Amino acid sequence: MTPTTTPLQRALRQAPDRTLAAQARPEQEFFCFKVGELRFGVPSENVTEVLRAGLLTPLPRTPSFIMGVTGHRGQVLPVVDLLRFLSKGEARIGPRTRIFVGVSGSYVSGVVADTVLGLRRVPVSEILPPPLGGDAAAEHLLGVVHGGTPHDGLNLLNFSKLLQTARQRAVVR
Amino acid sequence: MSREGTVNGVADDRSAEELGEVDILFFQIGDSEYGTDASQVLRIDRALPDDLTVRELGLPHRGLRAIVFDTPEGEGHLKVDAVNGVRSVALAVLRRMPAAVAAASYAVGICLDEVSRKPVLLIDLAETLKTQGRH
Amino acid sequence: MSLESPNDKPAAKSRGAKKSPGAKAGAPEANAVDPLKPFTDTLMSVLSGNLNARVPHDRVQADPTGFGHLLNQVLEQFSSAEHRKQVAAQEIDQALDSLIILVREGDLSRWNTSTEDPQLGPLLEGFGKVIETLRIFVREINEAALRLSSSANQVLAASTQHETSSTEQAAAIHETTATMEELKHASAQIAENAGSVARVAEETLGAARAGRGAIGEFIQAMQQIRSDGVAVADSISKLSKRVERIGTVVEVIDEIADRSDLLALNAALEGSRAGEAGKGFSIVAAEMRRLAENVLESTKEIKNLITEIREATAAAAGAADASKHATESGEKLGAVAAQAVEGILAGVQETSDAARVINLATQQQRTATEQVVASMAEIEDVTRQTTQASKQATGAAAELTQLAGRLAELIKRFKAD
Repeated sequence: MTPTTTPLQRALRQAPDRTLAAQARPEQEFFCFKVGELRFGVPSENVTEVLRAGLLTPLPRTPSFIMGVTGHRGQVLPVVDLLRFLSKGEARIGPRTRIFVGVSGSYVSGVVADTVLGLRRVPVSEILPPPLGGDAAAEHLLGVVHGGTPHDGLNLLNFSKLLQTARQRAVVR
Repeated sequence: MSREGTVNGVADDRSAEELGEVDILFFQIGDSEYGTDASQVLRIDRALPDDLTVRELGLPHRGLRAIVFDTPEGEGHLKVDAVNGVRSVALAVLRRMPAAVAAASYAVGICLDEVSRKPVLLIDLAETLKTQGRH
Repeated sequence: MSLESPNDKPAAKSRGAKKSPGAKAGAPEANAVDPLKPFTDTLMSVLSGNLNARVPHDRVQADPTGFGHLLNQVLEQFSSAEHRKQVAAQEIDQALDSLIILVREGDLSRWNTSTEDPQLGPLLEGFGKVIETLRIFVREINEAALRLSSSANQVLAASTQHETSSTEQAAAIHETTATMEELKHASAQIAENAGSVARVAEETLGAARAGRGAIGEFIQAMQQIRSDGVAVADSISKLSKRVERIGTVVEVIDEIADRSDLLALNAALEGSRAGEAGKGFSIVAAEMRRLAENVLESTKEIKNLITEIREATAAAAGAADASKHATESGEKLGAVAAQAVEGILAGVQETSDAARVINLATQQQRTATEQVVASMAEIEDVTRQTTQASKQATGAAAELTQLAGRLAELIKRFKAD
């Protein structure tokens, strides 16, 4: 005489009391955005704020990746075009274009983003090293994440290094 | 790439320090607005064909006006489209040029005046002449 | 002549030979010795024709009685009487000869016989007068015959002419009759055609009236469409304004959503910086951001819709405008058509009237033509008779001419001058 139980009853007996805590595996949070056809991720600790791209004041005789300056919270922010910086084309500023405020140490800079994808937690295990023998852009990448589709992948930027290089390039001139 | 902590301009001009503000002459070249130290300006004149134009500031539309300024070498004439006026601007809204940006030498600072729609580049007129001399 | 009595000749001969028996008889009887014998001889001689025989002179003187003398006187008287008788006879003969010649030769001109004889004179004079009268007659008859001949010729010519004319006239009349017959048929045809025209015109009139009604309805419909079109244009304009308003509202919503998006993003960043404590905050912020994005997507759709509506309303406005123009020109065309139909109506009415008049006129004409044909038949008949008569007249005239010729010929035998 075996007591008969339904599949649902069996399932409920095994169900947890609360949502299972995330498995203790290391994750990193990235601020993800799109510029041109490229998708980037910047460690979220490097991003303080997102702004609308207002009117920029162009500066004479600056490197072309510096689109100009903008005032934000009483601060003059240089605005960087990542596409020009990485020699991947050139960004255009439209009505929905965003500028995120990136910080690294004592350096602050605005960066043009066409679309902000949002904050995304990426398991460290999924971060793959940047492809070897890549172009100059590769040296500023932490790594890449392959998404489900070819359009879902992310290029994770080493933002501190990027700012440093930018500063060097500007001053060297 | 401006270094934090250099937000406030250091007052090294006594009169400015005393007044807490400085007179800026705003002018228009093409679609861009610029500002310059009003005390540097001798007068506004009609533009002459030989008057100075600085390409990096943009090309004037018609360039009917000239800002006449004093330099050790004599008068300098900068061709502009319009003079928007002179305003006393509080030191609090003036910023030095972020050093890392390494712009042209005549681009000396930014005015974050609320009146303007966007940051206004501040120009040293005498420096523009030097630049032109180099070219 | 053959009936002449055998005594006539000897009588006539005896008259011619009167003298000879007398002269011959005298001699044989002279032998008698009788006292009376000289007287008897003389008488015998006279009786035998010697009218000159007289009682010889000696005897007379010898005769105391005077008988011889007396006898001689008697004989003298007798001889003279005889002589006179002979002369008269001669003259009568002459006159008879003249008459015979006259009768034989018809020559009246040669009558000039005259006489001393007081007894014959009046007779010959009477003859002369008769002959003179005859001569005048002949002369006149001659002239008349000549004239008659000439006139007869003229009559013949005229008659012949008339006959020809009459024949021609008959032909012409015949032809005319035929033509009139044709005319009769033609007018009958015309009357029929005019009847058809009148019928067709009547039908056309009906159709044109129907057309006028239809055009009236068309114009009314056009006016209705135009006023509807005005209402539509009004509605479109209102719709357009409302859509613009919606657009403004959507812009505001968009702005709010955009700000919300930014706020949510920055809140998420804030939450991220707060570490574990900010996690819930980040989740809310992400949710809020999704909401804002949904709103933005919706507003985008709305904007697309507005754009479509704008285009559609612009097209509708354009269509309404075009419709307005079309209906206006439709109304104008309708008015023109109405005018044209009025013209057609008037024209058809006229045609109908005219056709009726033609029908009537041709019917009258047909009647008249029939009368003419009848008259022509009569005329033809008369003309035929005329021709007949004319032919007879020509015949008569020819005969007359012949007769006149003959008369002239006859008259020619008499010579009046």
